[in-house]
Amino acid sequence: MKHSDDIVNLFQQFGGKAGPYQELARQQEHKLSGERWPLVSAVRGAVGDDVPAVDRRAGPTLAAVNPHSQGPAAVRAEPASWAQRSAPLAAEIPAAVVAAPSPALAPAPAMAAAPALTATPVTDRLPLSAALFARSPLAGLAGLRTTAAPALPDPTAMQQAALPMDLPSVFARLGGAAAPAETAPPPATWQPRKGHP
Amino acid sequence: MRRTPEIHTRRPLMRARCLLLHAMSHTASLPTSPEIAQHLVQQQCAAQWRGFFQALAAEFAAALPPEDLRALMARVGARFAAEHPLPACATLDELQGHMTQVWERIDWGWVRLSQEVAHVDIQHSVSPVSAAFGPDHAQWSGGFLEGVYQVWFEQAGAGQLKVSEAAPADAWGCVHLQLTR
Repeated sequence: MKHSDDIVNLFQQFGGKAGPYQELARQQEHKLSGERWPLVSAVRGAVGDDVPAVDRRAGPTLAAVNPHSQGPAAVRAEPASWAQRSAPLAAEIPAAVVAAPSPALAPAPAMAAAPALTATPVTDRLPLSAALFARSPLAGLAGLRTTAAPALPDPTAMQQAALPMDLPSVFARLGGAAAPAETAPPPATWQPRKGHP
Repeated sequence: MRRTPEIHTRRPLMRARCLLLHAMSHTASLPTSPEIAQHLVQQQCAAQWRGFFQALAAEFAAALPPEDLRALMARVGARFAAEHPLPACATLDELQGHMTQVWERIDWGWVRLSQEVAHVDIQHSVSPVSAAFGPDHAQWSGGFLEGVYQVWFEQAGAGQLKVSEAAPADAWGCVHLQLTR
């Protein structure tokens, strides 16, 4: 479509600035199409205000974590806008995997939305901001990371916090992990060998 | 932030070396040339004793297999621990502190104890054993620290547990041991 500068020129005629000008025609078209085709409204509602960044690495990362999650070929052939529906799955990946995906991984458009249709919605378990944070490594550059991402509980830290601190309890805990009847092997003892007094 | 160990020694060179090694582990601006590293490693054992210990180790290795030498070093370590008993401790942190006090008094580095689910990690830093006996004998010379920590933990009430080396000493004499059942 040819780009028209007539609005800009019009503003310049009387010394105005065209910056604040907003074209309403497209918004009206969206509204009309939403009224005409309910499916469009449904899709828009499902995506909501969440307009994720296109993370090309999410596909192969997911494939690496769950190699059995490939959907049928028909689903895989869907356009990229549908593939974004699978983005919340990224929040199911451990934080370390999401935060540092391997740069060597190539984009894999084969990652499909099919698992998203059966998987439990991650938003039930994670705040939306956490899902966004995990989904887009560029969020910080775009100013989306205005608040720190909610820290997920570290299982190792939780385990260590639960460990006893006093020595008798520490030793009893470590010793108690053994089978009660099991006896430790005798410590190695050194004896001079024959011919080596 | 890691705690800088309190290093008390009457030998300024050794104290400086310990502080430098500790700082190098998390400071990027210090020199890392191999010559400097090799020099500092050699300083971990006084030149007065280096030749003697290495000749001793070579003679030991010619006479005994490594497993026997390791057991022998463990007995030496047990004797050392018996002659350096630790005061009563209530917590793992206290035990670590008393152990480190012994090591720092003789310029043998320091130790850090950390409790894991199935074991206690024993990270001994900058022990001079490897520098004294040479890297070729690290396979058995680490038995000394095994013996020391075994007796110290037995003194503390862990008689049913066993200290074993999880990873041999690196070039700096840093050894990873574990206390397990």
